[in-house]
Parts: sequence; structure tokens; C-alpha cells
Amino acid sequence: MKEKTTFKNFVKKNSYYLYLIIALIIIFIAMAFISDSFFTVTNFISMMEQMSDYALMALGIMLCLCAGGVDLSTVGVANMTAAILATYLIRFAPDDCSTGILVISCIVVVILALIIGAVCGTFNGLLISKLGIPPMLATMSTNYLYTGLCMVITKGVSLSGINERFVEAFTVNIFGFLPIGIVVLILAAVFIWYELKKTSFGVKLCMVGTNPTATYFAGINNDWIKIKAHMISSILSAVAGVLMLARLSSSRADYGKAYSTQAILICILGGTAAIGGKFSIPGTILGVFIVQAITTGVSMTPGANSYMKNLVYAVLLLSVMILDYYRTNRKVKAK
Amino acid sequence: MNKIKKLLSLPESFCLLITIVLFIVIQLRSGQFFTSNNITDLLASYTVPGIMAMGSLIVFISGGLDISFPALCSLGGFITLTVFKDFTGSVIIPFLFCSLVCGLLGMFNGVIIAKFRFAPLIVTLATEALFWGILHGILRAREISVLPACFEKLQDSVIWVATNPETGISSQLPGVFLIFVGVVILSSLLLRKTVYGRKLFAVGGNPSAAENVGINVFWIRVSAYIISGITAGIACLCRSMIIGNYHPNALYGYEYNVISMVVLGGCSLSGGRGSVIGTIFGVILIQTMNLSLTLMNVPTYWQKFCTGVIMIIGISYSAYRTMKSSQTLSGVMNKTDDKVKEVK
Repeated sequence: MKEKTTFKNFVKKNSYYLYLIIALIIIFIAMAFISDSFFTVTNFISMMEQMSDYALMALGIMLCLCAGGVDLSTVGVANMTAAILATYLIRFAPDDCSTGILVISCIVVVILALIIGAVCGTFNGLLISKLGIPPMLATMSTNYLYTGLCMVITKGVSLSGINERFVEAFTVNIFGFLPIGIVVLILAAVFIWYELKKTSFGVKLCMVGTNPTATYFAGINNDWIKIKAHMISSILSAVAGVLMLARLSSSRADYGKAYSTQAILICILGGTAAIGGKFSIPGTILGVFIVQAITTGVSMTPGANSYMKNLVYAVLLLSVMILDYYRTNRKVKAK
Repeated sequence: MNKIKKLLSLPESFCLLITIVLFIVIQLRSGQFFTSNNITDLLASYTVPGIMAMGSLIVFISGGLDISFPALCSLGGFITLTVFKDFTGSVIIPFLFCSLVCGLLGMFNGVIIAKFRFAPLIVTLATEALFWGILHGILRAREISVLPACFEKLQDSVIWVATNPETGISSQLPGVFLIFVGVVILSSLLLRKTVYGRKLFAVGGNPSAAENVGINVFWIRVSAYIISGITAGIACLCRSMIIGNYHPNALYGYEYNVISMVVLGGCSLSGGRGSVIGTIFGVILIQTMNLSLTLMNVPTYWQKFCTGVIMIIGISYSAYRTMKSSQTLSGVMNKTDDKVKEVK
């Protein structure tokens, strides 16, 4: 009897995740009927390779949404990082360089990416917190700036000719089945989980997102919280940029154009509140799986072109939002 | 003197100032800015973003945000051009039909946003994906290179032709430009001279106060999205007439361009503030810069970067002004107020 109630409570508490898991299972079953090659190891590996880029961006955007803003500059940061790193690699680590130089440049690439991410994020955060520009506008204009810089660096064409061994090093599958992107994603998720759940930053972030005036009078440094959220977001995007550079072995200003929309949709699908104050790391990860399953599923469905996936995302997102609206409203009324 | 000071403190005047500086810089570097050819080409290029910006402005004033309109009008335009493929009657009928389709699609946006009180950014992101999905996935839109015969007359009409005496190259201002002028006049009348316009400002400024006064906030919000849809639909047809064909992806990513024009023109994202004249300055500024880089011998890949720089300067300046005009503490309060409005 007692066990039953706890199970019921567990279901009630996590009903939103259960909806998502049910949606995921439905998509998987539908895919199994549509295509024979969906449930193969190669397909799952390629799905994992593709999803790490925008999954990282989605985690970052989740933080910004939670702080009451949004980050539209993620793709710009990723592409700019990729362009700068590509220029660096072409200049200092050509194909015939020694292994020592390659190792050093790999380390430099990672450090450079982190620095670029931190600088971009700080700039976004300063515009939002110190000047009080609405986050959407600020990140929209910095997205222009970063994408523009990427275009200037790549001169509007794609930069290729990156060291093959670098590409291999960053696209290796650990144990033969875990793409490096997924390892990075897991590390990032653990880091964010630690930051949000085990330090006061998570609580402060939600509070700033809900009521900045209250946090101001409670003595919380609103500006720093916002800057930190945007900094983490941009660093994650810069890391996604490194992964994109390695996966596509070239850099171009319009790679991943749709990622920022996709990442925002994932966050909302995962249960992060669009108006701030609520986040969910498992929800976001589930959202990434759902979106990737849809993308792969649509590309495998005979007779459907790749734009159909947009339709599926949109219908899914709107129906989840409306269902959730009625669910929470019922709860409020019951109280 | 006081009047001049007050005039200079308007966000619109800052935009105008940058525009004038840009004009002078272009003229000094190329010497070809103030030629009749160039001015004519520029005027023609303001048509499409200008019409779209008017719709966006109205949504912004009502406290909303619409980024789905390029997808929306591509869908509406495609449906219209397909339905009226062999139509030879008056050109007004396709325009009315397109307005109806786009208005309905805009109403879909508006009803979801106003009924459930979702964040407009998220809803329009989703409907944007939905509209692109319908356009490409279900309707399988292709390029339409021959426009219906009924458009021919309007398409070929020319207001004036400017010819460069040295090179002999002539550029013409298409008759479609008059539609832009009409839309501008209509929207400024709507915003300044009608009760509906005052209601829009009231809803954008303070929705709960507007509700208490007896304004139907729901319908005002929905109507703003309907207007945005209609103007976007008209802009899409105008674009196909100027270019001479319709391409489903031609307007992809155009929303941020238009939003930046409206915001640079002094419109507030949190609603209740904005003007038609400022928006026109914004359109002129961004569009001129985009088109004049080649005149100044700057490679076109600098275009996005320059837009970004101008946007950041313009937005920072107006944000700094609001910051300065309020004390530190009330500055925080102001920010909160803005946020509360955004939420609603």
C-alpha cells in the first residue's frame, strides 16, 4: 500500500518527464515501423554524433532562459570560434607538422575556444546587465556581430584544409561507440548539474529569473548572475564550435543556421520556463533525444523532405506547451 | 533651444543622425551616393522591408513580438500565386486573397499568444518552423518564375526613370513603391489618429491598466498579429513583383533584419513606445548600409559585421539614455517593470 503511494507520488512529481519519455517511445516505435535501419548501432552512433552540437547550445540557452533572458548568439559564437580556430590550425598546424606541434595546437585550440567563449559571453552579459538591453535584442545584435566576424575571417566562403589528424583526434569514438561529442556533452551536463544543484548559483539564477527586484533587495548581485549565465552559455557554444569544426572539417559562416531555433525549442520542450525561473537538465537532455530522433526519423522516411521535421517539432512543441498549460491550470484551480 | 534639445533627445533623432553621417561618409568615399540613379535604387529597395517593418512596429507597440512573418508571408504568397496562376482580372483580388490568408495565419499566432499568455518569442519561433514545414514539406514549394498575368500591369508600371548621363545606365522606381507609401500613411494614421491606435499603445504600455479601463486586451493583441500578417503578405507579393519571380527561401532569416530596423528606430521591445517615422529612419539606415558597401569598395562579407556594430551602438545608446534618466535604484525597478511587461 505504502509502496503504491510513493510510486504514485513519483509519477505525479515527474509526470512531465513521463510525457516526454512516452513521446520518445512513440517516435521510436513509429520509426521501427517506417525504417528497418533505425535500430542499428551505426544509426545510433551517427545520431549521437549529430546531436552533441546543439545539445551543448541547448544547455547554455537553458541557463539564459532561466535567468529570464534568451541567448540567440550561440550559433554566431560557435561559427566564429570555428573560423578563428580553423585559421589558427591552417597557419600553425599544416598537414605535415610533427606530432608534438599537433598535440600542442590541440591544447591551444581547446584553450582558445574557452577564452573566446568567455569573452563573447561576458560581452553579451555586460550588454544585458550593465546597459539593461533586453536579452533578446542584445544577443540578436551580437549574433550579427559574431556571424559577421566569422564571415570576415572566412571571406564568405568555407575555410577547409584543416589538418587531417586534428579532425581524427576530435571525431574519434571512445570504446568504438561513444563519440567524443557525447563525452563532452555528459561532462557539460554534469558540470551544469553541479553548478545549479550543488551551489547557490542555481537558486540565485532561478530567483533572478523570477523576480529581479526581490533579488536586488536581497543583496544578490543580479549583474554577475546574468553575466555568469551568458558566459557559461557562450563557452558551451564555443566548445560546440570546436566539435562542429572537427565533424565538418571546415568552417563557414552559415553552418548550423537552424541550431539556435532548435536549441530553444528543445529547452522549452524539456520544461524550462520561457519566462524564467525554472530549468530542467534531464528534460533538456530528453528534448535533445526527441529532436534528434525526429530529425533522423524524417530523413529516413521515404517521400518526406527534410523540412517536414520543422513541422513535427512545431506541432510537438505547441501541443506540449498547450497540454502543460491546461495541466498547470487544473492544478492551480484544484488548490 | 529647449525645443531642439527635446527633439535631439528622441531616439528617432539619433537614428536620423547616424543615417546622415552614413550618407555623408558614403558620398565622400564614392562620390556616387547623391546621384539620381542611386537614390532611385535605394528608394525601390526600401519597399519590402519597409512594409514588413510597419507590421512589426504595430506588434511591438502592442507589447508582442513576431518573428514568424517571413515564413508566414512566404506561405501566403505561395498559396496566392498558385491559386491565381491563370487569373487575368484585377490585381486587387490576389492582394485581398493574400491579405486574407496571411491575416488568418497571423490570427493563429495571435490567438495562441493572447489566449495562453505564452512568451511571443517562443510561440512565433514554433509557428515559424510550422509555416516553413507546411510550405516545403506539405506544399513542396518550388520557385515560381512566371507571375500570374494579372500582376503584369502593376509590375510594369514605373513612377520615374533615372538615367545616368555618363554611363547610360538607367534605374527605375517601380509602381509598387506607391504601396509602400500607402502602407506607411495608413499605419501612421492608424497609430496616431484612431481610437484603435491609442488602445494599441495602452495595451503595450500597461496591459492590466488597459484591461481595467475596459479595453479588450485579447482582441487588441490578436489584431496586432493579424495586421503584421497582412503587411507581410503584401510585402511578399511586392517583392515577387519587383524581382519578377517568387522563391520560397528568399525571405529566410529576414525577420532579424526587420526587427533590427524597427528597434533602431526607437521602438521599445517591451511595448507601448515606437513611431512610424523612426521606423522609416531605421529601414533607411540598415538598408542603405547593406546596399552601399559595394559603392564604398568594401567587400560584401563585411555587411553583417557592420550591421551588428551599428545595431549594438544604436541599441546601447538608447539603453544608456534610459539608464541615465533614472537613478540606480529606480533603474533596477525600471528593468523589472520592463520584464514584467515582457512576461505578460
